[in-house]
Formats: sequence, C-alpha cells, structure tokens
Amino acid sequence: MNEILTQEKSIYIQIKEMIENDILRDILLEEERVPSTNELAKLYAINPATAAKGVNLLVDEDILYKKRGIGMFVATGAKKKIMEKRKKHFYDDYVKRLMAEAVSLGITKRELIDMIEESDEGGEADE
Amino acid sequence: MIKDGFAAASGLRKESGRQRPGDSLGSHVRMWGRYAGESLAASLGASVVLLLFYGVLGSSFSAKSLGGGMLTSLALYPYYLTLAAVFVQAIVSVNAFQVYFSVLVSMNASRRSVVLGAAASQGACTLLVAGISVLIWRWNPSDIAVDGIKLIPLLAGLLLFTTGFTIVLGAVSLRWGKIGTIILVLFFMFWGAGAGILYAMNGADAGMMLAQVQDISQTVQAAVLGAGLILFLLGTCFSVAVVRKMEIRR
Amino acid sequence: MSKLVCKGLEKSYGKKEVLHNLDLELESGKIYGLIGRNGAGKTTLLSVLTAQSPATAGTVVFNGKPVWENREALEHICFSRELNQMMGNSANPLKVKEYLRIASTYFVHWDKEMAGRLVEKFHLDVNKRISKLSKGMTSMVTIIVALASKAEFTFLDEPVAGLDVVAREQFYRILLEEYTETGRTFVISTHIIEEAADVLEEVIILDQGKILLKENTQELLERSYHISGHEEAVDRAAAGLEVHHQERLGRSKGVTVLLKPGQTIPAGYDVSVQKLNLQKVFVALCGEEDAE
Repeated sequence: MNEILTQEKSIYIQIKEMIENDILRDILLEEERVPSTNELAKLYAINPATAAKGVNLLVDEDILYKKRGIGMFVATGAKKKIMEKRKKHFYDDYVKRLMAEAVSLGITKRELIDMIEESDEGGEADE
Repeated sequence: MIKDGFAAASGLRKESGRQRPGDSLGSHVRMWGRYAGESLAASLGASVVLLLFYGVLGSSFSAKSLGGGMLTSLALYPYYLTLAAVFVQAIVSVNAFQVYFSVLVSMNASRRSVVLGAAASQGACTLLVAGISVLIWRWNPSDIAVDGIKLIPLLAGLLLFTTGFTIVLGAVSLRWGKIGTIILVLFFMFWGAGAGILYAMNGADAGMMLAQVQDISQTVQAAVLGAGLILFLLGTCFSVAVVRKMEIRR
Repeated sequence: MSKLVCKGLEKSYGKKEVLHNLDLELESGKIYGLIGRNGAGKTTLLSVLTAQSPATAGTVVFNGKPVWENREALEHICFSRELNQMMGNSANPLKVKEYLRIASTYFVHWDKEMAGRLVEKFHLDVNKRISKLSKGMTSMVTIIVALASKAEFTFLDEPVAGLDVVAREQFYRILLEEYTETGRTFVISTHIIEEAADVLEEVIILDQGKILLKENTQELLERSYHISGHEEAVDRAAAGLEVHHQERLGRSKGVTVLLKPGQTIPAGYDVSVQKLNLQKVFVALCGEEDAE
C-alpha cells in the first residue's frame, strides 16, 4: 500500500499488484481482511469502480475471497499462488526483455551468464 | 398563483414523502418574507428622512393654517411614507431582480415563481404601508387624518399601480439592462416632478391639497382601487412573460 | 436507476450554433468527467441540462419528466457554477452566508451540517461579500454548494479552477468520500484533466459542440497507445488502425492510435509501444490535426 500510481500500467492492475506485493511482504496475512474498495478508492484518490476492478481480478484468481456482509479476505495459500504466478511470468516480464536488450547491445550468452554469476543478488536463487 | 404553489407543495409531499415540509411555497415565503421585511424597513427609514426634511421645510408654510410645524409634519407622515415607499420600492425592485433572480434560478427556483414571489412581497409591503398610514392617522386624528382615512382606497389603488410598475421595471431591467435603467431614471423624474408640481400648484400647502380631494366619492375610489389591483396583476403577468425563457449566465 | 437524458439537443446564440444535435444519457451512481477545449460548449451543455438555459431544440428529461421550469425534476439536480462577482454593472452585494442561506432554502436536501464543516475546513469567512472573495474562495463556495446540496445529479463547472494544488487534492478526496458514502452522480467539467482522470469513472469528450466519445475511462486508456519509431515501421504497425495526431522529427514518427474492439497492434515491427494518460489521449483527439 501507499505506493504511488504511475501512468505505465492501468490503474486497476497497479492496485492488484500492490495488494499482491503486500501479501508477499506479509503486510497482509492470509485469512486477514483486505481494505474495502471504498477504502482503497479513498486512499489512492481513485474511482471506487476502478479499485473494484482490480480487487475482482484477485477474486477471480482465488487470491482473495469475499465474506458476505464483512468484506474481502486473503485466501489461504494466496502467497504461494502469487509466487508461482509471478515465477511463470518471470520469463515474459524480465528474461525476454533482458535478452532483447543484450542482443541489441551485442552481449553474448556467455557474457550474460558470467554477469549473473558475478552478481550478489543471485545468492538467494541458489537455495 | 398561490394556489399553484399549494398544489405543487401538497402534490410533491405525497409523491416523495419527504421529511421537509412546505417546499416551493415554504421556501418562497421564507425567502421573500425576509426580503419584504428588509425593503419595508428601508421604506420606513427613507420616509423618516423625508419626514424630517419636509418637516423642517414645511413648518414655515403650514404653520399659519394648521399651527405647530412638527405636529403638521406628523399628520402628513403617511404622505411622506407613501412617497418614500414608492421611491424606495422602485430602486429595491430593480436591485432585487438583478441580484436575486439569477441566484434563485441557479438554485432551481422556477423563473415564474421568482417573479410571483417578488410581486407578492412588494404588493404585501404596499398594502402594509397603507395599513400603517391608517394606523398613524387614527392615532393622531386631525382634519387631515380624517380625510386621509377616507381616501385610503384611492391611496391603495395608486400604490398598487405604482408597485405593479416597479415589478415590470425590475423584470425589464433584468432582460433589457441599460434601457431598463434609463426608464427607471425617467420614472424617478416623473414622480419627483409630478409630486413637486402638485405641491407647488397648491400653494405648498399639503393640507389644502387633501382638502381638494376629500370630496372624491366612494365609487370613484373603489374604481381606482380596482384599477390599481388589476394593473398590478397585469404588470405581474407581463413580468412573468418577460422572464420566461431567460438564461442564467454565470 | 435515475437517468438524465437529452435527445437532439441544439443550442444556438443568434446565428452561432454551439451545440449540435446532441444525445446524452447520464446514469445515477457515477462520476462523469466532461472535458473539452475552451469554446467546445461544456458550460453551455451543463447549463441546458440543468434548465439554466433553454435549449433551442431537443429535449432534456429526468426520469421521463422535462426539466425546464420543472421544480419536481430540478429537486434532484444541482448545477454549481462559478460565482458571479459582478451583477449587471455593480458588485454582487450578497454575503457568503446569505448565499448559503438561500441555498439551504432552495435545495430541499441541503445538509447544513456538511456545509458548516466544509466552511470550517476551507477557512471561509462567511461574512465576506462575494464580490470581495478571491478566485480560490469563490471556487470553494461553489464546491460547498454542490456537495451540501445532496442532489442526486450534481454538476460542477470547473470546480478546481482557481484552487491551488493542495486544495485541488483536498477536493478530489472530499468528492470521493461523498461519492463512496452516497453514490450520488457527479458530472465535473475540468481543464485539469490528468489530476481528475483517476477519479472519473466515465469521461465525456466534447468537441465543437458534439460528443466525440463517452466511455469508461479505464477502458479508453486500455485501448489507447502511442507508437513511435522509424516512420516506415510506424506506418506499417499502425496500418488499419484509428490514428490520431502525428509527430515527426526527421525519420522518426510518433502516432496515437485508438484500438477498436478486437484490434491489436501487430507484433514484429521495431517500434516502441507506450501507454498514454487521459490528458495525452485528449490532446491527440482534440488538438489541431495534421493533414493525414
């Protein structure tokens, strides 16, 4: 929450991703209540219908579920679902672009792999 | 006119079952009642000023025939009241239309009801002035007062006519702006000149002037009153027609 | 569901036709934005919809009842516009508190408590004469009247003109708070498009007296793209698509496209495809067009 909205992506997608990020960061725990669309709308100064669109996408993906009369809740196993989903899209979201940029700069695959092995960030991935 | 207001009010109450009673009619009474009160106060204020002014002037002329300047002035008070009421009303009417019309219509009052409200409040003011005059004459009976009371229908008729004219003036100034203002100025000159001429013609003695008209019969008076009323109503209808399709700009 | 519908609306001033054969349907429970260039006819349209101006032709109907001089229909409508600081040739003698008092008398659903709260929040001096107010303060009075009227269909004509950025953001938040609580319909015309874009559920673009489009804001943005690159590649990528607004510099070219349902931008061309914000889409649609 409390990130700033950008122009790059549709707003409702950003709302969706922000909620996902919060679930991954343990800001929102499973079986906990998620802010209502009205609360989200007021927080980000956006139209409630837009906030609802983002929330509904998460409901469709079984990341959130609705308790009648109470509100939206984080589903059990949501964290795992989000990570798997993002892993699946990792290739499209990051690798493809990395490759395209590398190709346009004339960086070979060997050089790329060397770079990855050098980088500190790779530490966790080995586990 | 008032009936329409009632009909609308009761009809609406049935339809929407709102908690706030007396919508159209109520809001107009509140709005115009307050405005009428303000303009009446202005009339009274102006008349007191006129009274003092003419009282000082007049005392030198009428002291001979009626004795006592201030007392004379008081006896003639309703005359000044009427004069002042007419002057003030003309100004106030035009001003009110300019200020309130656009504000009220912008807040969803119908144009028709604004004109009717203005007319009703000014008409009520006028009759109130006549009523106050009667009270003053009863409280301070003198020869003049007795004649004055006899002439009330005549007075009321003339006042109503003038009031109707000021309503028309207000509506015209709203729609045709500058021309309306010019007419207003001419109107002032007519009134001031007419009143002044009458006063001068009769040897600057108001008492004698009243004496000349005291013999006017009841029928003539009733006719004048009736005519005044009809002209007032006609003036109001004309004003409604004038503003019917007016546009509120800014 | 209440509806405010206008059909075949025309408005002319003398020989000058400002609105041409306009059809518009406004539903309850939405925040609409009305955007258009100066002179497009926004204020005129709002005026006619709210019976402040008579239409030259066509009808404006609220739930089946014509709005003109119809207090019953108008009870559900509020048009709050820029305050007149001059009346005729003289200054407006009304004080703010008198203005608000008249509003409370004539708007049947007026919320006095809300008006008081907003007056305090905006630090408004109600004893000041309207003619003596700053532009920002007159905007605030306009906003207070609009919100406290609690009318089902509330129209605001450029409510944030004259407000500084902090006050503007306050306005959007107050608007959203009221909307989420009551679900009233708001129709807001504005020139400050990008700020308002997130708040508007639907956007209506008025161009030269005609409605160019009326669409859900997010959906409009999802089908708008900016394609740029070598002019040949751009032309090929944009072939068959609805193109607006070109920019060129040397061999580089940029165009704005609006996709129709089912259309996509073909892959495989060496072009940059970027999303646009509402303001940019509006300028692309209503700015001066280059000859295609």
